[in-house]
Amino acid sequence: MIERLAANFHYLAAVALFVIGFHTMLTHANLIKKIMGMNIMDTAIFLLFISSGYVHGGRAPIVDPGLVPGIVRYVNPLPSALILTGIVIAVSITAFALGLIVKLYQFYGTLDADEIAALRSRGL
Amino acid sequence: MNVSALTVLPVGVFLGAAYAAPLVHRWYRRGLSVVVLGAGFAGLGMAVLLAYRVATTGPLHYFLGGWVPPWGIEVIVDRWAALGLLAVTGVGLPVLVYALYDAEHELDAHVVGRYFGLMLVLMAAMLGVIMAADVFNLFVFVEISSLAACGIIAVKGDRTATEASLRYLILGALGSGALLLGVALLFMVTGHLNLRLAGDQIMTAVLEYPKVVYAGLGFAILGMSIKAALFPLHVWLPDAHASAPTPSSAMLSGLVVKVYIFGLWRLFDVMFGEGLMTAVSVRGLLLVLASLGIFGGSILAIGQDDLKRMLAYSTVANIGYVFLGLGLNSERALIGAALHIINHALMKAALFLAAGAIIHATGTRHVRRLAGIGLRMPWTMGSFTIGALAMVGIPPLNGFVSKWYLALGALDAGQPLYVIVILVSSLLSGLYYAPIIISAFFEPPRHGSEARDPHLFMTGPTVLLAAGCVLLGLFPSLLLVLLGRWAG
Amino acid sequence: MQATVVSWLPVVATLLPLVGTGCIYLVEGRSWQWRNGLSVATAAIAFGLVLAMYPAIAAGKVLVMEFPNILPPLGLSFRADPLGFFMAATMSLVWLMVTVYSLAYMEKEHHKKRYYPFLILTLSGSLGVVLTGDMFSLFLFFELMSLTAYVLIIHEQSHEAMKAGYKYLIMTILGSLALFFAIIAVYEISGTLIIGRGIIGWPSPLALGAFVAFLLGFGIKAGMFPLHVWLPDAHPVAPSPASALLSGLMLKTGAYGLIRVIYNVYGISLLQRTNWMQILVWLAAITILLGSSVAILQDDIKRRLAYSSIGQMGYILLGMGLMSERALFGAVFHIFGHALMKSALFLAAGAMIHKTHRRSIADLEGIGYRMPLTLGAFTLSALAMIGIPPLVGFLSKWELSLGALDAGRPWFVVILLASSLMNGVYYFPIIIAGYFSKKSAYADGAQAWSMADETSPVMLVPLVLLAAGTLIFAVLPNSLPYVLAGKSAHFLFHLGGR
Repeated sequence: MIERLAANFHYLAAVALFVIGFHTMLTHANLIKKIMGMNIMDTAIFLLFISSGYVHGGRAPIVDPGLVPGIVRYVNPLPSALILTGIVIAVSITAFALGLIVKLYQFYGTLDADEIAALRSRGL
Repeated sequence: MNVSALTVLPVGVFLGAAYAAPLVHRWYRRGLSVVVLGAGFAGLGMAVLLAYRVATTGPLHYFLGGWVPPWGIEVIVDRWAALGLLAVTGVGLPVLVYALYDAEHELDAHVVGRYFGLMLVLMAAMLGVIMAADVFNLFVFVEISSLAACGIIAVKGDRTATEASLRYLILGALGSGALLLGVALLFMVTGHLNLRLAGDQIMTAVLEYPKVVYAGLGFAILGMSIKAALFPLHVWLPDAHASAPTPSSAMLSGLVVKVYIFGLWRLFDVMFGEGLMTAVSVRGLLLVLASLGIFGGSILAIGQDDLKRMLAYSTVANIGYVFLGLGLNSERALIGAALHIINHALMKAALFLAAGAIIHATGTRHVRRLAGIGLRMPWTMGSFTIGALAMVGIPPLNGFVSKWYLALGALDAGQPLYVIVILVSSLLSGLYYAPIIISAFFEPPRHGSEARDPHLFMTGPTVLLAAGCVLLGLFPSLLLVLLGRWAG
Repeated sequence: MQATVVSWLPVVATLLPLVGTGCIYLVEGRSWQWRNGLSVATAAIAFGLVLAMYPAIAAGKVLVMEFPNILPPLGLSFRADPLGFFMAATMSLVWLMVTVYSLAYMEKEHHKKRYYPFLILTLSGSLGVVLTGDMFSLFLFFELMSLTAYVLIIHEQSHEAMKAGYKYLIMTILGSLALFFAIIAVYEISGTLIIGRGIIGWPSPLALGAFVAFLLGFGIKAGMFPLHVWLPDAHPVAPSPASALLSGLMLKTGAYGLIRVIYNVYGISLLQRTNWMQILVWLAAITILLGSSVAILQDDIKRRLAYSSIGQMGYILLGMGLMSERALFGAVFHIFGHALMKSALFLAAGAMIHKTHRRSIADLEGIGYRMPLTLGAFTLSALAMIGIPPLVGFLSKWELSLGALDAGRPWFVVILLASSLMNGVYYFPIIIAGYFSKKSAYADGAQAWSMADETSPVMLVPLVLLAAGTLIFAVLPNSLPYVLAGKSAHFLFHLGGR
């Protein structure tokens, strides 16, 4: 059991990060912290995805004509390539969200989601 | 270069137009409508052409760059996708035309160009979701459409819209996180991203790593369901759809939420397959949530004073119908779900466009202050009435046809209880639409009301969508031809 | 099996008023004369078109026309068999009379622009109900009729009218959803919806559920207990010509639908094996007693007439439920008879209200001195309603009673008699006070009856004609409605549909 966990420590790290991110996102009223939580959560998923493509002892997947094919093991390049796209998406979401938060701060003068809700219910 | 290359062209056209729109708007304001309409008509034309080819010669597959899966990216247009393309381009075009005139008074002049950029990106992304044949591509287009959808809400720039957009964005990000996690887990055990190849592997994967597969499936469904506003994950929808500019509301309520159901159906049908779907009884859960959504959405809609919020809650209920069809999974129930996607897109777009015109003309969003509007704005209110009657399911309008198939599907599946669900919610929708129509046509107008039907280019699309409701009600065979062999 | 002929007549008769509605809507902005003329002409031509079917019907043929491409896989189909023809002829005749009457009645009313198109549109829906060849097409026109009738009901736009209209609308939607369920269940069971000879093979829970749903859907329209609650509110608030149509004709579409359900969808052989019909029979008996007894308590003349309609609909429901040919004959003939009587009564009441602006029965005492012909027509129809020979009401009650005896259920004869007695109790006071009371304002110094205050001829002629019909069609030897009702009952009982 312990050995299996130790061998897959990167998955454990991913799960831990995911939980931290999720918790931050849900429990913090501060909008900026929510966004940070979201980013941590995304990172956890990226880690999980990339580590799933890692081959123990594998090389970077750049084909070198000097090496004999079939013997040299490569890391699966697909997850890394895909996660690049995922990171781009996460960055755009973050940027967009921050833009909206700036706008909300101009309206309400606070970054606290609860305070904003309270202000709104009072019709301000 | 073969004819299948036509499949990716609509995405390209809308994407290209999306970048052109803001530039054209800055340099030559009049040119904007040319770009938007050009893209809209070209997209519709290509969708019709594709649908025709699919109906006559069968599904089209296209491999980007000529790379065959598992290396390349596959794009597929089968009957189901052709239906989606028709819905998006067919309903999208009138909404875009309406938007060209609506944006002038609902938005600041300097954001108009960018607004259309976002609208066109959204169109491209929706088409992409519908045609995607591998999970990662699906994910990317889902994300693009989510971002663009948040954009066309926030573009209004007032407090409610900004807040609704942020909430939609955060919940959407949660959904996409879940979706990506699901995709990752499924990729780990099947080794493929292409839906079909992953589907071939999934039953062996279940035997080896059952927990990973179930977790992946659960996360993927959860992610898509948040975006498709399946009850009780709909909490973001009413604010977002109600506070957006009118054309955005029509686009979001009519099309965007449905597109995610298209994606979800693809996962069910191709990737998970019948064996896995039965093993984990996802469908039973869907049925329960769908029924709750149908009732919850309808009852909450009755309590709304704000016209657009009422329509938004009605969307929650109607999403329930589509999920109900997926959950019942008999042939006719699936036909009903597919028809309801298109039919609801037409009805709800007509209703939102009419509501927007009414709000613009009267300056009120309150449903009880619409007395006498029907006589002052006959075309707008007439379209609203047709849309509402179709929602209730009065024959021979299109809402009746989809409910007919859903109900037959429920009986086929041996679940007559869900027929009652459909009927009761129809009655509930009568309860919130009828008072509006009655007071609009049969109560004297308020003094000093100067409301009139808006410009032809705003009235026209509304009437056109309402006419579509009648046409598809009388001649559902226009669509059933496409669905014919797909469901079987 | 009956010989069928393909004919456009049922289609044209149904769709002509639909086209007429559009034309009326277009011309009414220009000239009210054209509008009025066109309305009457449309109703008259529709009547003519229905009559044109008679030769084929008399020769024992069934007229059919099908459009399978509309709304597939169900298709739209039109069909005229003896019952359908009989109903259509009755409807278009009464509609014509009422349209003529409306010309004078509505002269000083508001919103005439809305009234006439919807009056004719409702005719299209009603004719469609009785001239269609499958339950789905029937449902389609049933909806058209029900929804357009809403506009006629709330015409006054008063607070009570809006309230009654809303109740009507919600009940209508409820009924249409019940019908939707029933139709879908029948389609699931049998794969078809044609009006045939019992398309459901054997009893099943789903078939019973559909039967109850049919009772609910059509029963709401027919004013069957306990679904009648909308009726006494909705019928009186409508303008009198519209009340005449609602009470005289549109209630019958519910009864017609149930006849089709019993004899063509389920078929007598299936229903004889089960005891499902007992639901209908007992509800009908309660409906009779309830309608007739509550009518006695009403002071508003139109409300009294509305409750009377509930009681009379009970007769018809009872007749079709007893499962004897004679009783069915009585029911079908009563559909015709009651259409004449009740529209004549509502039109007469309308003429009185039009003149005096009072609706209370107490206020209408002595009205006979001022409007002798109107009250005369009222009297004749009321006597027919009570069942005095030799009027149409007597004939149908006679057949109904014989039918009840045929079915071996003499107790229902007692109910019929009790109800007739109650009819007398609520109609005679109006008549007697109308002719002989001296204390009313209208009788001031009036020593003799005078025609001076009689209503305008445009209103008088239709209502007198309708009232006269209650006598003529009963005493005429071989009177056509009587023969046709017999033929319809025979056809339903022995030949069925396709």
